Amino acid sequence: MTGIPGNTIWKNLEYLPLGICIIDRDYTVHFWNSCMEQWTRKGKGELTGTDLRDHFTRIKRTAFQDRLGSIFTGSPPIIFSSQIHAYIFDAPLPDGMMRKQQTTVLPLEHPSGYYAMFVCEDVTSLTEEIQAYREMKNTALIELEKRERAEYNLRVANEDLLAYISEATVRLKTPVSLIEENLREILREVELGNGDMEEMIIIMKLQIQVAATVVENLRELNDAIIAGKREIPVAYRNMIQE
Amino acid sequence: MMEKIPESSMDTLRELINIGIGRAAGILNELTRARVILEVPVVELIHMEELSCHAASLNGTPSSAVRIDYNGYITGSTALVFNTAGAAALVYAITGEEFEKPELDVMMEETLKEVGNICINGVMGSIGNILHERITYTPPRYDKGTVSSFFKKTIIDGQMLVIIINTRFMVSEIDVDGYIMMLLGFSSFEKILSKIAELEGDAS
Amino acid sequence: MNRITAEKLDEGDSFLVLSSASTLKENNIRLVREVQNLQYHIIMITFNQPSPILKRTYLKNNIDLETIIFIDAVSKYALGTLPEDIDRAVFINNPRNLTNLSVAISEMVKEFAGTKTCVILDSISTMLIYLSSGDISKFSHFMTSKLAILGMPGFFVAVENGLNPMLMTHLSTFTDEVIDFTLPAED
Repeated sequence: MTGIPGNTIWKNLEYLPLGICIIDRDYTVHFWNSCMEQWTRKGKGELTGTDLRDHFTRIKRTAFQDRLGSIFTGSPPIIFSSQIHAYIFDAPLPDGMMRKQQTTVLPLEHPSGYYAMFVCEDVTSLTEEIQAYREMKNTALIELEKRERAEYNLRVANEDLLAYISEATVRLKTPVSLIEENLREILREVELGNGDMEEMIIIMKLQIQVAATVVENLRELNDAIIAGKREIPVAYRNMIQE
Repeated sequence: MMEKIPESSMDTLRELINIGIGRAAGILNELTRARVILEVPVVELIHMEELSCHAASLNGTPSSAVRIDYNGYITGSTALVFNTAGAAALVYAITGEEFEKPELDVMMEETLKEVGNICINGVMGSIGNILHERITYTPPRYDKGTVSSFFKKTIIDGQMLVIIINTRFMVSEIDVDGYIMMLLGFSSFEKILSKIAELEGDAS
Repeated sequence: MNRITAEKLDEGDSFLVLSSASTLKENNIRLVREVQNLQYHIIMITFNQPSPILKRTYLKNNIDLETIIFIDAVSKYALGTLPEDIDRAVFINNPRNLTNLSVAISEMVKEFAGTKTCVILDSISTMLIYLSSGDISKFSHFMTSKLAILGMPGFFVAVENGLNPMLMTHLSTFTDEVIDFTLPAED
């Protein structure tokens, strides 16, 4: 791009929504647009014709000037990203925090050599939105992980419960069948007139004990299902409590 | 054609590139929170058609590139290319942030642009210093795709050559392979060689 | 396979014997008879029926009682006291007390080690009334290991479909063969 101070091309940059500043190799300001005025609260009258380094400390740094030097020989443009530099020009927001800036410096051909044109973009909102998005995404991922873990635990608890009930029903089915079988046999013997009283008493006493044990097992199962007992797997108990 | 390039000219070109990479490493170290080491680059000259199979670690993988185009005394395009996951790791390491994901968001793309800008400017500056001619450059832009897609739309008359500069970026505990690819028309490359020959002539 | 042979007993194998609930008593008699026919003494561990009842049943079925010793896990529990007939029997206070049972079994098998004696446990399914599958699995493993060391054959009777799948798998693993008494005997 070519331009002479006061040239129409430069005047067209006046009202761009980007901060534009043009300096020569001595850092003398030749152009300072309205956006820069608004952001930095420094008017063009204050800046034009003066040394830019006197107004902004970051531009004074050696590292910055070393990099900028090549622009005045027509090198490729230079980028200053907001993540590494935060800002180049001190441009406070209403809350006092500095605007985050993405700045590109372009060589501008001029009869007296190259000028440097700073094109400065305010990325404060963009940075905040990206950070908010990152936080939201991290929160969502953590929530998802929690949910997956909870689902897994619930699945395990459910499997434990089913295993427990399966065990409990097997332990009930057999003794009830055996009680039935023993009582049928007693009935058969009595009907055949073969009933040995002593034998029947022993068998019936045993069936009473078995029946009592079955009742106890049923009570245990009932307690397990409603309130949980020490034999119940922890995961299952937690599931009931939840 | 490449067989006719004197080895001494290639050595001088490598030296210029090495100086440029060294300068870039210095700037990166000054600017960033992390200590950045750039390995001595391996420089090769290939035909454009061989590009895809030459950058082995990038072959077919999603890649991120920072690129400038230029015209004037020489015409071409130079890009710094990483695989995207490596680029993300590099940006996190340079900004001192904790690694989150192997992807670049908009802010990270801008940071990668600056890293690319520093490296490309280092190399182009070195070459520009021996040319002493007017060259116009576009601002750096970010691109993502594959190696074969990056230069697909670059049109340069005649045969195209690529100078591939392979260097390793070492930051904190990570190291990432980066490729600087200078795509030049044959006539532009001849101009560079001619200036190198002048340099060697002056030196001897 | 539901045939018990002398060769298998001589090798000291252990067997899981499957029965239906309705024929458990009948199959007890069948098993005892088959083993006695092969000239083996029997240590009968009974959870299913009190030893006095078993003895009477065996007498009615012409089974020689002289070759059978009982470890009775239910009589004292059911009656609250020892039965009148305590001949050739050892009594466990409570069928839940596996420690006492294990000690009684260990003493008994040690006494008969080296002789043609086998152990019959009737039944695993009845044990489930009093004990969990986990405890029964551990106990069975203890029993089969002990018997294998002594070279003494063992029979573990269970009601088919009366065990949970895990216990069934464990028992099939611990024993050398499954004998299906739900099928009629092969002649």
